[in-house]
Parts: sequence; C-alpha cells; structure tokens
Amino acid sequence: MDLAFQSLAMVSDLLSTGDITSVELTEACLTQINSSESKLNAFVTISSDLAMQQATNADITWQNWINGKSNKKPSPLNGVPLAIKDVICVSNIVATAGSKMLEEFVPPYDSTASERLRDAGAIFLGKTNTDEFAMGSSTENSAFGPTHNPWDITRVPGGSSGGSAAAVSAGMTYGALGTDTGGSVRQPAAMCGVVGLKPTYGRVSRYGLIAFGSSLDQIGTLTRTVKDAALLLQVISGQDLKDSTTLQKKPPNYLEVLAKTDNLIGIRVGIEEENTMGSLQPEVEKSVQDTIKTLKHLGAEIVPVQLPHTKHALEAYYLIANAEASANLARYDGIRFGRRQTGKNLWETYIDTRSKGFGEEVKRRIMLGTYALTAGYYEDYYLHAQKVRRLVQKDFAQAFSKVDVIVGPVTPTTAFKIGEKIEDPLQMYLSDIFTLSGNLAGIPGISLPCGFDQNGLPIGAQLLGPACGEEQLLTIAHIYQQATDWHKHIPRLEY
Amino acid sequence: MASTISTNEVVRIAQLARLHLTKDEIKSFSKDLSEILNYMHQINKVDVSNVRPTDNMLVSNTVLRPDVAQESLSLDQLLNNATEVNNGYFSVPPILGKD
Repeated sequence: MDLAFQSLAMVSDLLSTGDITSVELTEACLTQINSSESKLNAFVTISSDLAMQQATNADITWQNWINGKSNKKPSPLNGVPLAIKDVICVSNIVATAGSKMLEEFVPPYDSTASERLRDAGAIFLGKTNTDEFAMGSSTENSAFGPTHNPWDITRVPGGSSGGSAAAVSAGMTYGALGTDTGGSVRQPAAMCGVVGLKPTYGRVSRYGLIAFGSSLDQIGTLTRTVKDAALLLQVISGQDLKDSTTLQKKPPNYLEVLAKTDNLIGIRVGIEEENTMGSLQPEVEKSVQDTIKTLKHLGAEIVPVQLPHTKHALEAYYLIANAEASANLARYDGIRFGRRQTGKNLWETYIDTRSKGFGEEVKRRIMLGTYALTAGYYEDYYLHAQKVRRLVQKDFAQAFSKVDVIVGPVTPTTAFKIGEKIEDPLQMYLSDIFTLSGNLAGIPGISLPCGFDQNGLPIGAQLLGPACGEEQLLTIAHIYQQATDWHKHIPRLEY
Repeated sequence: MASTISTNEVVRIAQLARLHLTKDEIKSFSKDLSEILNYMHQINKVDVSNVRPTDNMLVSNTVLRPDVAQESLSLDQLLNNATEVNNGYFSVPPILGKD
C-alpha cells in the first residue's frame, strides 16, 4: 500500500490497531519530501530528527495501549506526521514567517495549537513556506523563494499557506496547519485540490501565531478529507487563557457529529443569486453550479440569499488588515529579537533594520496601513472600513437566519502562473475576493475540491457557516465528500 | 480625494513607518499606493450613517484569568534571540547620535 496519499483518518486507524508504526509513516513522509521538495519548495525547515524521535515515542505509546500496559487510549493524532506553517511557533525550531527579519528567530515556546498537537502525540515534520508574514495570495512573497503547485510546477499553489497546501497535496504530510486572515487557508486549498478549514474567529487560540491582522487572523487546517479536518480541529480548538479572544463555548465532538447522517434532508443551502464580484473563470462557475446540484440531489433545499455589502468587503478588508499589520509589525525594530542592522544611532538602527529586513509587499502593506491610520485619512478609510465591516457582519447574520450554510466559489480562477500577478498588487488582492468577507464577519468557512479545469487544475467550492457553525459545515462537507470523489484525485508529480 | 499619492507623501508615510525607501521604491510606491487607494476609495460609496464601527469580534466581554503565578520562561531562554546581551539585559545602540 502506498502510505503517502492515505487520509489522516485512515493512517490513524492503522496506528491504533498496530498495523503500521509511526516510524514507518514518518519515513514515508520524509521519503516523499525528499523526492519532491527540490521541485516544490513547500518547506522552510524540515525537522526530520525531531520527527523520528517523536515517532519512536508515539510507537511506544501505541504499543502500551495495544498490549494493555496503559488504559488511556492515545489521541487519534498520536504518531501522525503533520506540517506547520512557518508563522506558527514550534518550540526550538526556527520560525521565519517567510521573512529575512526572522531568519534566525528560534521561539523558546510552542504556540497553543502546536502544544496541543504535541501533547496529542503528533509528529512535526517541519515548517511550511508562506508569503512573508502571511501577506500574499501566491506564496511568491516568501524570502525563501516561491512554492510551486504540485499539479503544475509553473503555477503558484495559492497563498499565503501555499507551503502547507502543496505539502498535503503532494503526499508529504497527512495534514498541516495554516493561517487564514483573508482566505490564506481556503484559497491555497482550492488551488492545490485539498480541504481547507478556517474556523470561527476565536475557535483556535492565536497564542504563538506571528500576528498579521489580529482581528482577522485564525489558525486553520489543510487536509485531504473533511473528516481529517475534524480530527485536527478537535485537538487544536477550545478556549485558551493565553488568548483572551478565544471563545469560551466548549467545542462539540466534531467526529460524532459527522457520523450522524448521510443525507442533507432539512438542510437549507444559501446561494447568492447575483454574482456582484466580477468575472469568474467559466469552469469555476460550472463546477460550483455542479456542487449546488449535488447538494440539492443529496436533499438540501437551495435558498437565494442577499449579501449586499460584501461587494465592498475587499476595500474594508485591505484597509483594516493593513492598518492592523502596520501596528503589529512595528515590533520589528531590531531591539529584542529578530534581525538587527546596526546604524550609528537608535533611529538609524530602526530604519535600517526594517528597510533591509522586510520584503517589498510587506513594506507596501505597512505603508498602506500607516496611511489609512494617519490624521486626516483615519475617518475616511479606517473608521469607514470598520463600519462597513459591521454591515458585512449583519448581512451574514440575516442570511444565516434563513439558511444553514452559503455555498459559492473560493477563487475567481484556478492556480495562475508564477510571476503572472506579482507586479500588479491590486490584481493579486482580487484573488481573495470570495474569502475575505468570512474573515471580516469572523465566521467559519471550508474549501472543498469540486472539479478540475481543462488544464487539469483543481477547483474549490466554499461553504460558509454562522459563527461556531463548524459542526454544520463539516457535516455538510463530509456528506458531499461521501457522494463525490474530487478529493481522491492526486497530482501526478511528474516533474 | 485620493487621486494620487505624491512622492513627497510617500516619503512622509515611510518616515512614520520607520522605513527608508530607495528612489525607485518611492516612485513605484507612489504609483501602487495611488492605484490601490483609488480602488479602496470606493468604500466611501457605502452609506454608514448611524452605523457603529466594529470594535471587537465575537467575544464582547473582557475575559480574565485567575491571577496566579505560573512558571515562565527563564532569563536565558528569553535573551536567546537577542542580537546583543550585556549582563542579563538587551544591549542597544545609543539613543543620541554623535553628529
């Protein structure tokens, strides 16, 4: 059996019965990484020694359970190899955030998400590539080179969690953590043909996540199946006293929910009748229409909804995200940690450090954010955007009083060519147009493989749900995957 | 408003953001920022009279935790990422220049 492309749930079952060992699984992933990494550049750091050591320990834990020496059943993630986006801290492994600024930064602590995975016995294969400070939609803005799409290496994997998406797609790992500030989990998932889950704002702790837009950032998962996403979410979600914005409401048992039903009778699926977001690649449009038909066929009732303010979500998003980014990135001053470029006085040290440490897109966003917050423009831009944000939230609240989920596209097009949009920042920003309203509203969303274009590139469909609606989202998405096989296609990896 | 962002304005914003831009960067940022802000300006078409700005996300109350001392990172761990350390402190260049 080719272990590399099995689902996380499948290998977890095989571990629990002793049919395979974590060492075998970890070796399978490292072999896959060795054979593809030079073409894909999905990782910034590969932590093979740590992974093998963790795998040995995980095998002992399973053996003790299987032999009856221990009566505490290990977590389903015990012994499962995973990858972590390089903006999420893992203790004692370099966390670059895709930036020269943090090239040598070794966090002395785990993020809460990493800590929960570590405690569950998961294996850390390494840190995945990302646009610098997660600012981008193509993973081309990484200081460590672009990541390539496993379906066509001349194309981008999407971004900013492009390394995580490519790694899952190419069979290098059974799942990965990403982060989603405006679509950075869902968009690369769609472009790489994997499942991307962005939970409700506050569902997963942001402690130890290198901040971009603090009111928008959320850690999410990239996996091959919806069930795999549920397995990961179960472990990483829940209140954290180290992040006061985490939700106090206890997460439900997501796996139990998934097992409950196999049809969508009684489920109301919202669709926006009028596409106000501009043009869609025809094949993307067709695949999304087919997804709606499938959901209907499975018993769902299709209900039109109106989201009149989401057509201004892009403006609100980029004004708010960049303003928050300019404030968050003020901490990179060369003093306590990160790169320092010593000048002849403190002022010069600040300026030289930041000018040499940040890449072009990060500088552009800091400039935009600073501008939107300066006297004279604050009310026209930032404050106005914060008001539009409330209107977007209200649109969704009204829609979710009528429907359980809203279905639509994830991205306007399939994966574009490397270099195609990098010179045109506004065009790049427009590739997030369908995902970022979910971040403004703080609601959960999932991206599901739902077809291919004529070049064989994956297409994704997005389901959005109300705040804390992960149960419903995962259930509907899981039922969709039981009835379709788009998620079972794997890239040929012929380089 | 917001038709073009002049190069002077770019330089002023860069100073506020503690960035030094090259001549080429100033030129290209002036173009990019003008283009992007012109697009963003469409947001002013939305009528927001009587709309309260969003000030928090989903948690509206202040969450407190018990004020109990816990183990924390050691001084060595904390200083591990510092460029320059002197006697258990972060060492930084002088605040006042010599010129």
